[in-house]
Amino acid sequence: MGRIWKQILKSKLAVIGIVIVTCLVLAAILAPALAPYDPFEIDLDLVIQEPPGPKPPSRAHWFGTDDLGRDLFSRVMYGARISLMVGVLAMGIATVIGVILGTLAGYYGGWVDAVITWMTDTAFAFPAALLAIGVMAIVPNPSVFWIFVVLGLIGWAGVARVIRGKILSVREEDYTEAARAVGAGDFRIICRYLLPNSIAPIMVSATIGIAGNILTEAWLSFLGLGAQPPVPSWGLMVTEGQAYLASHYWMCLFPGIAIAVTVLGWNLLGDGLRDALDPRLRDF
Amino acid sequence: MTAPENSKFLLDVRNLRKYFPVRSGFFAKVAAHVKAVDDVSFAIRPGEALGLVGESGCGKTTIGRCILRLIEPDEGKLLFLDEDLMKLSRSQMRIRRRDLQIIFQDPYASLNPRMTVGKIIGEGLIIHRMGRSSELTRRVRELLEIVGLNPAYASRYPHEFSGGQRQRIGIARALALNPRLIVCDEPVSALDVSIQAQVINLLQDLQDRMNLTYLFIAHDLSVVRHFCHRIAVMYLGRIVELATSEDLHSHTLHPYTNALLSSIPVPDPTHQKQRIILEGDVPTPIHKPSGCSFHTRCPVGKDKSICREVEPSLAEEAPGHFSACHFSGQI
Repeated sequence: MGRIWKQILKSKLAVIGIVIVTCLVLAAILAPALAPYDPFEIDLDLVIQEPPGPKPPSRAHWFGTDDLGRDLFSRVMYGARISLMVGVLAMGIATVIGVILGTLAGYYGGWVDAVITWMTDTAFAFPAALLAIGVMAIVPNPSVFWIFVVLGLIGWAGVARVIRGKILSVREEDYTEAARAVGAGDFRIICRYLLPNSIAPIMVSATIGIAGNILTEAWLSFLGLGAQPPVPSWGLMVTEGQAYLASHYWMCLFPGIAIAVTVLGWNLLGDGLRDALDPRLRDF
Repeated sequence: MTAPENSKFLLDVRNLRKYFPVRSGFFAKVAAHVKAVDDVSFAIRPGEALGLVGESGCGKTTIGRCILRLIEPDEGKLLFLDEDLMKLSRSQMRIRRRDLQIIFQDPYASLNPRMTVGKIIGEGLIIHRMGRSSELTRRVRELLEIVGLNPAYASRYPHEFSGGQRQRIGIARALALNPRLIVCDEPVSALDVSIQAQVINLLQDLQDRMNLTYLFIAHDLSVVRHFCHRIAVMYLGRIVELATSEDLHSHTLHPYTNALLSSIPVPDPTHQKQRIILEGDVPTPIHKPSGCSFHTRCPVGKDKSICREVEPSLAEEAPGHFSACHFSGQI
């Protein structure tokens, strides 16, 4: 693991990614301690203050306040929690499903592979937006929980495809053959030989998948299909600011920047991981 | 070196056949077959080292894998101590694998990079429940010592070792289960020449000490000539000559063996070489030549119609000396 770290730290972009992701995680964990205001607290005094409406960034409110007088800096900070939770947990669900199905397809081949590949292709062909809208429309009260489900349903196919390919190649390695020669069973071969040697693409696809999930959560919430008010989700905050876009830009700007920077951070980290884990790019 | 005089075979391979389908077209129809191993029979006595020699692609590695059923043969019998391995179920075969082990060609590809050396060597012991944890550690250390490595290496990872050391680890893994037969699949051809001799000596030493039986696969005769009691020469999926090491060298019967022998460098500057250079490439095992598959490159039978039309069978030309050629000995 030390070698991989060294490789990642060699790339400036990857380091930027790590810094962004670390800040995001810290913000999410420490939000209750660091946020200057309660993100849900409505300050009516501010709302009626002349001129009425959202207040611009000031020393008291770094990112300004929204139309209900809530502190945007605190809300963006709490938003990191939603974003991170959705990104990581949904990716966790997708990764577990994807790794299991991809491994089965790659290892057993034959009709198992045919069925799983067919499922994967179907999942890919299905428009993700439509599926998300469909699920959100059906469930009684759309909430953050359902976003996990939707993202898991969308995300596993990509993971499965990557893992299947990797398993196909590791399965043919001499050391796997050696394990069969000493009498190892399927379960042992999968857990101790195939998966440990396929961990690199799993980590890369999971990291980049987190970025995708954060973006998807943002637009689902933006469309009103995800987090519901008053939850401080970045996508929802952009929606709330939309009406004031021309006159009170900060309501959209800061959550928007948060989304962009976060997605960028995860993508940079993913790319850095890919480069560090790819033996062809590694110099000893 | 003399072969142990024991007529009872440890492994008797009969009419082994393995064709790999070549698929093409939209519906992946089987268009042809690669005849990797085509009706091969041979037997190995306990304590013997049988060499299996041939050019790349002649099917020697496939035979090695078939014997361990790492590749499922299409047809034939694998009589191991009179028990047909082909008839065993998957789980029965897993138990039988104790007795049959393999040493791989590429020491860099054959060790799991994510496992320590101790775990790699002990894997078989755990699977076959041959020892508890303290006993296991002791056995792994013992095995490392047997193959000439420091027992403290057990906690290291494969990438910390050189090619020769890795091959020793591979040998220790094969030895762990006390096998009867070890298939050595070109175990030295990926190593530096200086290391090759060390590994060969180790294998020879182990054979003497532990009464091992080897099927030693190699692509040139120079490695096996001193190491093996008997040698089988393969060409395009078939055995063309099988004899004791001495007979094969002193009374070569098959023109192909003769060509292989002439390619061995002799460390003597005054030696006048008479190299037989074979023309052309090895024909593809998908479309084998008619008759004797060697006739297209054979210095003897190139123009003879019998070689083009009739496939010679492996016949015992002298006691224990088999050759598949219409003109055996006329070289």
